[in-house]
Amino acid sequence: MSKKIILVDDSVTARQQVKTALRGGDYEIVEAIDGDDGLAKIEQHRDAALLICDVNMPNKTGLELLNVLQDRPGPHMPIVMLTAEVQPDLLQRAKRAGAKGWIVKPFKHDLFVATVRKLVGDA
Amino acid sequence: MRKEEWELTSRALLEGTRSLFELIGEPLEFVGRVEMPASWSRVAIVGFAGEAFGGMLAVSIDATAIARTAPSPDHDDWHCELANLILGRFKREMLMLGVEIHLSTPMLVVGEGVSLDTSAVSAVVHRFKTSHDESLYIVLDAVAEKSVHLCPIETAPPMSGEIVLF
Repeated sequence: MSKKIILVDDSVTARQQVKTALRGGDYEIVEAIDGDDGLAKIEQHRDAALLICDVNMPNKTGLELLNVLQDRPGPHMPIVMLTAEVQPDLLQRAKRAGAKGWIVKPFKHDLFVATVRKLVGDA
Repeated sequence: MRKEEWELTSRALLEGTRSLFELIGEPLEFVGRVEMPASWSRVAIVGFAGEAFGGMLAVSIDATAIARTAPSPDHDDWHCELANLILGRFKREMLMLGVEIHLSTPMLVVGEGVSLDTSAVSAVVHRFKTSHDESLYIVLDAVAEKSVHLCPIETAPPMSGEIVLF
């Protein structure tokens, strides 16, 4: 059975790049266009194996979304941030809010796929 | 900031832009600092703000270059994403110089005869060329408190493509 990945990014191009990178794997990608939409998709797909989340987005940033999820009862899916942001205190905030990793855009396909495989338990 | 520090800031932007385009397989040639074009048809704008340094970055790229490099059919979105990535790189370079900025989400202005109303003192327009002779303009319009001084830090933030696992 394919594993479900929720992908939250306001850029359709960024979402397309992720989908292209993961095309060869057995993944079902659920897309969300901002933080609020991401929250709704997480509610609908609680069986997802991974959440990939941008940081700077309208209608709730990625870090605000993480804070909402952190306050909810578990179990929680692993979360990895995918962003052009590199500010150390943002990484620390994401870590404190439960993220498992931080990927700086633009990403290298092979490293990105290897990270996804590891986080969903395929590696 | 002192004049030489503004030069360092410009260099940080140029270096960030050049390395980004190399990473996406489109090496750029720096043409030079140019006059502000009288008008644009498409320009992506991203704001940024820090404690004592802030402004906006505008990016205009020939439509053929956007079309040729776009990973998705939505070329407007790719134009914005490129501006976002350029500013992300600039932010990293500025962090390494000890200045922290926060970024807004990018927006694209499309129209006939779009002009940028920048502050006359600090706006700098840089022009690059792609290997297909297409133009890329980057406008940095920023203001800094006199108290801001660039001070390189020892620990480098993560680079593009880098993955940090917690």
